[in-house]
Amino acid sequence: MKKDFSVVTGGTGYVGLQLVKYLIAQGEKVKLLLLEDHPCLEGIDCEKHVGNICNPVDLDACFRGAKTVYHIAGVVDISGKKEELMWKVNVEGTKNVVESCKRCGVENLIYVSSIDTYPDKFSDEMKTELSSYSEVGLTSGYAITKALATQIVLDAKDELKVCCVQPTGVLGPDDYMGSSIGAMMDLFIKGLFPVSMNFGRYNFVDNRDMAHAMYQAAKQGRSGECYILGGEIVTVDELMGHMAQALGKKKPKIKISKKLIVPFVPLISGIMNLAKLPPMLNSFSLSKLEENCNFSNEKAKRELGFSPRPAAETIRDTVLWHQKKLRGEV
Amino acid sequence: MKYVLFTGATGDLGRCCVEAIAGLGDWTVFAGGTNEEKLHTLGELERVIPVRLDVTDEESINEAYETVRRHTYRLQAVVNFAGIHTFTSMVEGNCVEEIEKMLNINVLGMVRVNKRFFEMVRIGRGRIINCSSESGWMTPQPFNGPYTMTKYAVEAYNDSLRRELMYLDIPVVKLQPGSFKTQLTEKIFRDFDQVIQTTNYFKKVLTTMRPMMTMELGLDHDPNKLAKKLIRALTAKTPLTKYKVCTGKLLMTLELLPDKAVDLAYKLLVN
Repeated sequence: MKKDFSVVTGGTGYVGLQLVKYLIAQGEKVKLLLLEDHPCLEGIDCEKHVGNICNPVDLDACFRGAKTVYHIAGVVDISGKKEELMWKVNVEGTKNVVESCKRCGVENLIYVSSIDTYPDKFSDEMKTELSSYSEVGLTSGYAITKALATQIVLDAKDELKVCCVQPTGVLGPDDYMGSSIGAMMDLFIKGLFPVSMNFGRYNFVDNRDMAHAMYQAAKQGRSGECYILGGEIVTVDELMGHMAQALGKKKPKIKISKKLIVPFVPLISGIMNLAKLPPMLNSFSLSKLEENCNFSNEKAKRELGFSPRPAAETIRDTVLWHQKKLRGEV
Repeated sequence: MKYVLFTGATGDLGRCCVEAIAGLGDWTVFAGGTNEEKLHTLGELERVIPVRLDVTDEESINEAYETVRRHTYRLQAVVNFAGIHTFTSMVEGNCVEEIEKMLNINVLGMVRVNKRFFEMVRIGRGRIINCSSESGWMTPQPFNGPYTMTKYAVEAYNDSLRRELMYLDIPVVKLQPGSFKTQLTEKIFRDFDQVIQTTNYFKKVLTTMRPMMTMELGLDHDPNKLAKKLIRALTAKTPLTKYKVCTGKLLMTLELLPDKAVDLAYKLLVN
């Protein structure tokens, strides 16, 4: 049987949708494994297969005849409320995906891992890809489940070609599912985020650059290898500045310190919860802003031709997409 | 489903506890032990997975780890129940050898198992339950030195571990059971009688003490009481630091006396 299409799990997500668009633009036939259809897929020329990665039967039905599977579906939870679901989807689901790929004779499996799988986050050393991943030294449920899932994928390296990509903080257009940083941008556009911070920084990658790298991973990545997809490190204040510039607004003049924020974190977190917004500010997200985010993208550049665009461009496009979303134009 | 690793599952009390945990319905027990025949019969129980586990052997512990890992990444509890008892003089016979053997099983075995399975307990947001004994906190009895030494060590290890792992929100609990009529009790009497046969100096002392031993160890405590207490330690939302069960009343009274008075009591017992 000729294997002539790619499958994307989690195709409606922040990373997945961009990948789907990119693959179609490259002339690939794309099949999506979806829990349910989503309006963001309107007008996108792809086959939709409704199913659950927790169900091996659904996976077999979807993967049969596929050349490449891009496994992106996963649960991200920093609130601690979806811990069991996270284990079920991220670990057991990934195990199912790997086993189904083997059964269906899939040639390439590209898995979206995470840089959260790296321990020792408070040292300043430049992080490079590890040879194996485990729960040791990791604290959040998300990091642990992603690390275990990454190793499950890598362990299959002799049976099919497997590559893991490890994005840093993802930005870019098409945030239909509502990321934490997207929620912060929405507030900023509405003028409800009038302050900046004098601390915190993070490493960002554009979802469009990721899509290119993942496609290249399927074509020329080495089996059993991980590739860090990181871009520039941007401080919170620089992020606010880029957003303000893109929107033609003035950058907030007041910069608040961590000491001032910490006492209000439970209150802010509670309000976010009541407003049903993604948990953009809690002790976990605050600690992430101070972690070591020095991640080397040299391997991805060298082997996948990864070429991250300037952070200013990514932030501009992201915030303008959110502006359009708020205007109802997307 | 929750998962617990239980060492020393092939002993009488161990099996009773394993049955009780598996009987809860939402727990699966990895029942560790060295007796193949008893492991086989444990495997016939629902929600019990027998695991060959020699707590003195790192390789065996690693193999057990791999077996558990094939079923789950997370443990909600480790129960260290493996232990032996020897009754011996501290100056006659092979006491050094006996002490080494007992420390290796009762103390280092516990340390080895907890160390190997720590990550599984951590990511399972689980707890560690260490089986100590009333001998771990009571005033030591003559001729029971080696066992008491190991249980005092277990107490110290447990409390230190508890204060270390509290920083990671992992509860560490100790069980302090009294005597139960098991194969262990029978072995104590056998050892005791052997010491009587071979001693050069303590025949009279030991012969006089035997009825007291019978009284203390022969008490027909129901093993289910221990299992019940263990279940409480296993399932309590916020477990206590220790759970006592069936403490010996005669020995308990000695706790009320100062050391000199206890010494005198033991001396008068013989004279």
